[in-house]
Amino acid sequence: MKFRQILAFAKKDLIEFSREYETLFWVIVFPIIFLAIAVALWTPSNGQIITVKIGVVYDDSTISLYQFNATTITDILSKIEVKNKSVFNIYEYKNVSSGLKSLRKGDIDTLIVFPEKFSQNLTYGFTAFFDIYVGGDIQRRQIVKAMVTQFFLEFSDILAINRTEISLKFLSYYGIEKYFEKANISMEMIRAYWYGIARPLNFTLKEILPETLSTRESIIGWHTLSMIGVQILYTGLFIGALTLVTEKEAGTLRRILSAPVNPWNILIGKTLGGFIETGISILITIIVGIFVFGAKIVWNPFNPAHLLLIPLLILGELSTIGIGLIISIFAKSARGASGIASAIAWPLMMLTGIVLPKWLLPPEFEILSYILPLSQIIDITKNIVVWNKGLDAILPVFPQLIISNITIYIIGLICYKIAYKKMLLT
Amino acid sequence: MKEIGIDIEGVSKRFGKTIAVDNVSLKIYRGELFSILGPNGAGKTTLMSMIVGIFPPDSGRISILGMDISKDIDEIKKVIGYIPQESILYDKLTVYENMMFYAGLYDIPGSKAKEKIMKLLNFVGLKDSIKKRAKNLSGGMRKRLNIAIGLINDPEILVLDEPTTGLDPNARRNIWDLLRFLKKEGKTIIMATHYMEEADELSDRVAIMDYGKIIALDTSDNLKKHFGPKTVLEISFYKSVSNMEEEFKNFSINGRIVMYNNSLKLYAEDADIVLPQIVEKSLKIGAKIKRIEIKEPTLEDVFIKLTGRRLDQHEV
Repeated sequence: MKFRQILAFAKKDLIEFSREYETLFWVIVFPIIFLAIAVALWTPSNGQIITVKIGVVYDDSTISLYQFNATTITDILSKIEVKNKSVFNIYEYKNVSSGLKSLRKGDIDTLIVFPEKFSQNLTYGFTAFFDIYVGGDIQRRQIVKAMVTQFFLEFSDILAINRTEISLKFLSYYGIEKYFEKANISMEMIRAYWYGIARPLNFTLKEILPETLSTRESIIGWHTLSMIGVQILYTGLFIGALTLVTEKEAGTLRRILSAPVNPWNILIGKTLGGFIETGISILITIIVGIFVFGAKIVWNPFNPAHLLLIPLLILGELSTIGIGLIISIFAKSARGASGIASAIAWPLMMLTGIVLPKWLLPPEFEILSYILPLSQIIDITKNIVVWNKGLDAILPVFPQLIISNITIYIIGLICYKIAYKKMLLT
Repeated sequence: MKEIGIDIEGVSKRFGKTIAVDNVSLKIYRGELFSILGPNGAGKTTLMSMIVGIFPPDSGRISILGMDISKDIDEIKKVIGYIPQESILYDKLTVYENMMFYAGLYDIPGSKAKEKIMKLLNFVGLKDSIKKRAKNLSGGMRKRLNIAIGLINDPEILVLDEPTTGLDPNARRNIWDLLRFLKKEGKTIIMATHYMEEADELSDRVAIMDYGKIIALDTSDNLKKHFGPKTVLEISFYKSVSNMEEEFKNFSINGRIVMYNNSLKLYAEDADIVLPQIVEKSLKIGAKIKRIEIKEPTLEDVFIKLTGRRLDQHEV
């Protein structure tokens, strides 16, 4: 192994890389654009307030008879604010058909119809029936449904408790409580029992997200690591697929081979150049992720799990170079090689859990994520750097990953040897 | 006794069903400028590729400076400088960076490489263009840089494949001057070319190659003497008439003539005898003569005599 030869290839490729605007775009600019899109599309902004447009139809002639009526509810709705911003905007409609027409057009998100005697039932303590219609696309519909349902569940709960308290006051007012006392039943017991009737189950729902995923910053960190996966995938595939064919097309391969150069040194030199290119682009992506988009990435060089990620990522790149070398057998030109590499990179990027979370993938594609070792490596990297997991996330799969990545690379080397012989004779 | 630099014995190479080089044997002496002359597709590049060790022959033996190519390929590569026909430059790299890259391939340490590069660029007249990117060089400059790269390892043997193809006459002369200088310096130079003037002008000996075989090998003068006709007649007509080839072929030795545009070339032992007959025939068939030239034979004429084809055409 002659280091000057290896360095000659690495240095030459790096100079060409730095002067090739198209390559710079794909290796550096493209992942940053992709990261920006991911941040814009798949990352909720901090404190984003969703406003719901509510249409209301009062088909209730008893409204004017009672102080506590249907309009009281809509008044409460209209006064709910988060950070000085109204959550519900109310629009009144004369009848159901005009309200539904607006709902279908998307002018409002939901329509609440208060029927005849709603206010009377509400005041008398009966069940007050009413209808809620929800429109919009599936995502919006789910959000609106959740918000409106949550409001009325809580409102109904408060009403139930108030009605219970009023009923208890009536017991005292009419002197009924003394009969209970004779039977050794206290007012507290009655209150507890009636609360139980009004609210048979009382639970508190608490959302506990992993610390790193609970904030916008950590979600951006997750996307930034996805982009690193994309960079490794692209550079690896392109290095492998183009190593020989670009030299052949440039007319330099024959000259190189007339020098005392071992073909493996060509590959090692180009791989080294590729590693440096990937390293630079990864560094730029991380810097942009942290300082432009505010990504939270935890990296501790004294943590053994974090340190193990470096050889793991190198292994990932080696296996993608291996896939690229397999492509090189079929490529007759640099253009063809790039085409095949791109055609393979896109589905691998989108369908193996590198860019999209695995749970979002259809089950039939999920298996792909286990076939591509890079996908597993990016997953482990996210687990360690984003989820703050330790060695237990890496050690059990480490031997398996070494074997799978090296196997793919060795298959790639065999293909490189075949492609090399083929290139010499054509 | 001349020392043999390159010894080729019974070498053949086949690509699929095509025999590119067919049982070729050659001895090239040290310090000699040896040309292989032949049309495109004759097998020159394949033979050169085997000499420089890009791929091995299917059969036969090649030895360079006493080393067997099948055993000592790395040592042989160190003493050979190869300048292929195609450009060997990386367009995005500067002249200096290109040379540094190739210096790296020969494992030359940085400071020594730098010194050599400056010397070689001075020699090929590119010192002022050291920072220019290769894509901004003219055709002649690129070829000169190719030669400088070919010399980066200070080779004893320089192998050039069509070194002046595509160059204007002035740039071609520059390359010839460089090659003459290198020969004077004692380098052994093997050059493949399809330009007969180039082979004629520069070579100590010329091998004529066709369909993978060496069909003649000697000095240029000897080739012309032994294989060439005594006289070459080149006759231009105002316009050609039908069957001209048939009408005139009996005037040429072995019936070999070459037609191109409105001209024909034929070969004769004695021009004084044939010329009146040609004029008479021309008048008879209505082909009006524009010009007649009587020439000394060239290497191309030797090639035509041997193969019946011109160097720039595959078949007649």
